[in-house]
Amino acid sequence: MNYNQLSIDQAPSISTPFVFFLTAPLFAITAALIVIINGAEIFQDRWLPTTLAITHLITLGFITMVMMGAIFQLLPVMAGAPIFKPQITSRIIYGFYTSGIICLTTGFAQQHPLLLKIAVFCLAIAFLTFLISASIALIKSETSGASVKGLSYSIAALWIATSLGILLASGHAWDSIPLLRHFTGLHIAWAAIGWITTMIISIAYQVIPMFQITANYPKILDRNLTTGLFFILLAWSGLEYFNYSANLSFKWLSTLSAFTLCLLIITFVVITIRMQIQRKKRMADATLYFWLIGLINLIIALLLYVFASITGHNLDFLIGIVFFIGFAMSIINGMLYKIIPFLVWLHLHRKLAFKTDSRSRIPTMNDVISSRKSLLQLVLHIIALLLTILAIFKPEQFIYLAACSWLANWGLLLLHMIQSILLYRSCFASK
Amino acid sequence: MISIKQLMSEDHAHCDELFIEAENLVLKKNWSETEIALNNFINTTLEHFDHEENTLFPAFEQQTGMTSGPTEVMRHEHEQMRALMKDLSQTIKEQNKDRYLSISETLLIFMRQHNMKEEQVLYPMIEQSCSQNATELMKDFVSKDTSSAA
Repeated sequence: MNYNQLSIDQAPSISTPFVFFLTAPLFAITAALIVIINGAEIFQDRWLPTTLAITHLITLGFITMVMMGAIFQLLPVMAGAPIFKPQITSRIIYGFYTSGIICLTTGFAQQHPLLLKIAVFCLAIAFLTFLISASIALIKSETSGASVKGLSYSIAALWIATSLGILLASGHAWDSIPLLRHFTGLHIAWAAIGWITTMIISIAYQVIPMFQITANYPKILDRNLTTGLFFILLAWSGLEYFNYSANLSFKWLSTLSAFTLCLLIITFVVITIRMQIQRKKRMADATLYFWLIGLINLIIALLLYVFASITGHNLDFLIGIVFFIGFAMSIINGMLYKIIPFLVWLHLHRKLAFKTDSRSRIPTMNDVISSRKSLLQLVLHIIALLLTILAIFKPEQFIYLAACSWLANWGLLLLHMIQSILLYRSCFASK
Repeated sequence: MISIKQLMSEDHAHCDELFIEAENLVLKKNWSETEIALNNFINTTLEHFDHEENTLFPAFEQQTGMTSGPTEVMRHEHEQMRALMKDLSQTIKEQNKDRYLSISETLLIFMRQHNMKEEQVLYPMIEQSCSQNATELMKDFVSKDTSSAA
């Protein structure tokens, strides 16, 4: 065993994940503003340039933005494997990634090929740097365990989702490259199930027992679920590809594999909710409710997908919103309310704890973001989510109300983050 | 054969149980019972730290020659948790429920991520480098456990 590789305390500086976290609500706010400018027309067609822009502001600008920042923090703790030179690597990724998202969404919204070309270039560099550094760290890690395995699969899925995304974006950007629109389904599946869901499952393995003191996940589930998801997704992709390119009729087989994926994830969700209900820690907080809302939305999204596949209804918007906002954003939002106060406390404690006169000034997690504040944002989040779902059915009446409530919601989240940073700085200044 | 990782991880879970017992009592503002439960948690956790700092870590350091590596970080984290446990005791004296819950939340996350690092990284390393004398190293800890269970 290589002992030097053991990097038990190589957590990055507080600014490394925080830069990603702070930027995420800004992109979400931009998405809400674009909805306000464009109104109900965004729901006319999922291929509309503006709709593509809004989708990517949420998925890349918020969801993946926070997940990337979190991975810098998680790898040393969970896998004993830090990313190489996290400060510099994260700055490179952040620079190219934010520029890439801005160019991509503006490029979509304005139908501007040059911006899309720059976007492809920036996002390719950002993702390649991130994927290569995370993959190296995970390969070097000598830690085994369900979470690290799950994390590895989610990174592998992100390789695939990114490659397909770059291919699709290149089709938009260059006339000479064909737009392979039939790859969109694969791109979404690898991003939504392979990357986001698998990562959230891997995190759940650690944090559900950790935050709520629940029993551990059943061994059979945590050993096999993420492997199963990855390989079924791979089989499904192959079938979808052959169905299309060779015009073969494996349709029933690919539907079967998609339904199996849904069933496996629903099993995970039901077990998780049961564990949470039977938790030993009686106190409930905003993070717990965010998790519950997210998990319930995940079940609804999957059931809607199954329903739509069987009946042939087009529920793309509803499924997309329930999945990306109702599920992924809810859980990420809830996690931020644990991660941010904990990191503020941790870094202050490391620096000030052994100066007896300054120890009493270190804020507790609740001083950083009080439970009252996080519960208030939770209520706003639920209202905004319900209004958005109403807006799909009655866009004219609800779209502005929904967008304004998201504006308030993400504005509040951003405010809570900024207040945390200011508190952190003021504690430093007064040392 | 005795597994250091398994025994120490089980003790982590035991400490978690005691920790949550105290926290659930605070919710009822039952201060006298909370104090007993909290002391029970603190004493068990301190014994766990002692066994690591005085037996397991020195054995590992001797075997590998690594004195400033992971064990130093773990010792440092133990100090941080000792400080938080002291703060918790203080809030019981003040009967300050909100402050207790706020500190206990911080301690819980800190403790669990510390345990995770030990269970996933450090214990397997100790087990590998000290496989010859695992039984000897865990002798006192196991006997303590059975005597307290009796």
